[in-house]
Amino acid sequence: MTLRAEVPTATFEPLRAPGLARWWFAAGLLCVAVVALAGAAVGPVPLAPLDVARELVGLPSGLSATEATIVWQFRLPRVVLALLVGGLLATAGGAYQGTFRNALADPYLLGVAAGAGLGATFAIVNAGAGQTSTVVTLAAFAGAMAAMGITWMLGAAGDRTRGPASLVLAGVAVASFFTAVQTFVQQRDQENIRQVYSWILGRLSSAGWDDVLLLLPYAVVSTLVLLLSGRLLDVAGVGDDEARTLGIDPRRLRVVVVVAASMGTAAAVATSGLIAFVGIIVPHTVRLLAGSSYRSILPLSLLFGGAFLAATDLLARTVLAPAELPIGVVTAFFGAPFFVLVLRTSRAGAV
Amino acid sequence: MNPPQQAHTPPARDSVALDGATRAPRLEVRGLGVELGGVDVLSGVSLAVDAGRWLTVLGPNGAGKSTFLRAVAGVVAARGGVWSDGEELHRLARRARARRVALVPQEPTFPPSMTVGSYALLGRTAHLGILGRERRGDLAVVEEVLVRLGLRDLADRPVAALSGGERQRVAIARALVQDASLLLLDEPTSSLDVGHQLEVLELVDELRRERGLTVVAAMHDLTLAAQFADEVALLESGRLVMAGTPEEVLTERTLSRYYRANVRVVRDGDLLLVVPDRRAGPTS
Repeated sequence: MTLRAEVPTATFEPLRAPGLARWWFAAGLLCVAVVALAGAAVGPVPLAPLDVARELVGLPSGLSATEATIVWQFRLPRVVLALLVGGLLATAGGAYQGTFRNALADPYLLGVAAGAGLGATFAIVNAGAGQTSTVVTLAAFAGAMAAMGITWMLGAAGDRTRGPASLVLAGVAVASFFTAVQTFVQQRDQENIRQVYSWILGRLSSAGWDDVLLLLPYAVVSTLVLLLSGRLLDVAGVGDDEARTLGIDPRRLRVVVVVAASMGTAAAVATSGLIAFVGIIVPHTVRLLAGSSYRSILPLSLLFGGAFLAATDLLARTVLAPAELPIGVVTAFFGAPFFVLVLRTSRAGAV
Repeated sequence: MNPPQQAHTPPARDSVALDGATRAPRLEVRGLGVELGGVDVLSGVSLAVDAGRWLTVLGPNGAGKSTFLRAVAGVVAARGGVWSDGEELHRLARRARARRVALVPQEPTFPPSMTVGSYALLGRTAHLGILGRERRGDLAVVEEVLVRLGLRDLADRPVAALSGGERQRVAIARALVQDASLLLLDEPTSSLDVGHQLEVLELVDELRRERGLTVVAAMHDLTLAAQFADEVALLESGRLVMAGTPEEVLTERTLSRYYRANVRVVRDGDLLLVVPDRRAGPTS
């Protein structure tokens, strides 16, 4: 008798399209909720998390009127802004990684953030505009697109495949250049220098609901476009030629994704300054945990990126309390070692 | 000793009808040309293949076989026209074209950690709606193709973890899932051992019969080409130099001339064997 004699007709798990696992989506939402609650409860005036939770969902909470004001007018806008900025930067990072098929692509390393920073500085210095203004955001967007365009062209020069190293090297060069110009612009104008400085270091401390409202439209458009591009980014993973035979236009996809991601980056940078490494830490962690389909990487980056930055902000304002650390310092503290880890584990930066 | 040099000019013609003109050709190529960096890598190729037939494109390295397939598939910009069932493929929108032509590249790119099932599902791209959500019908197509190709139990495995023969089947699976009636294969057996070469080509031949596919394959192995092709087209330096049945094209004279090698064509029953022969020394 052979062992093969009684192999039953095998039954398999039904096929499923790759996508967002409900479990991970729920975990992301939970993270956001927990961090938001912590952000609203922790501070110079400590509040009971349970009371804050009841206040936030509209139940009678036992908070005094002053405490409720602290929650609604001071802490919550800051938390929401951190959630938005973190989500935008992480989603943009994931999208850049997908469209350039490059593990090291991130708004900061591609020079996009520096471009947005230059644009925003120009606007702050020249228009005399306050931080919360559409002019600053639009100028940041223009700067971001200019930097992205230059990085793309330089990174592609002499190398049609846009190797991972050449793109990032171009990005670093562009970032240095734009940062140099930005420093020049800000130093020339001593009147606004303090304003520029505090903005550069990435502060969410002065956040109010008007900042949130300013950021929201860009955030919604950028996020929608990127989330809808998830499947196409998966298709583009087979390379431009093959993607064409499957019926998509990889060049158009790349332009759409890059513009949307740069818009998100610019809006985030315009409201909260240069915050590095969120765009690389979060998408990679999500990819490791929940799989490499962009249909799950992008939405999870949005959730976990938001939670990560809100948690980082909480850390930034409690570690040295009553003094505050610039949030960009905290993300860089975690992000730089992580970046080295990614470099070492992802062979030649392939995604 | 060198074989006598051929005196006649090659039978290059403007158009080579490969089969009886009784049925409208499924695939018709007219004056197809491709220019890369100012050099004509393909020029003036015209031919026609009937529905459900197998055309093998032969030619030495650099003759333009891959370029021909890529031009038919619309991956590279090309002059001339390609008609499939009377529709001019290059005038179709990209998605519509992808529903009619599928190309299995010579070295398919498999994204790291992508599973067999997800990879095959990419073939549905041109069939999905604007939001790109796969419906049950799309999954059913993939299911059926994977079962047919014996890949169903590998559906959740990363493609990168499979053997060469399995990977080739996965690449074919994606093309079948595309549900196109014209299947282009670029050297489908180049990285396989002899057993898997036969297996893959048999599979393609069976699928061709079952689904009424028109197959165009670029190949190097002349003996295999002779066994699987209904018709053969020979390219050299981007031009079509000969077309016809395998018996007509695969002659010692033609092959020596265009491959610049001494080959023997040996008949064994209905088998046509093309064997390189070093005894005669290099041709001039």
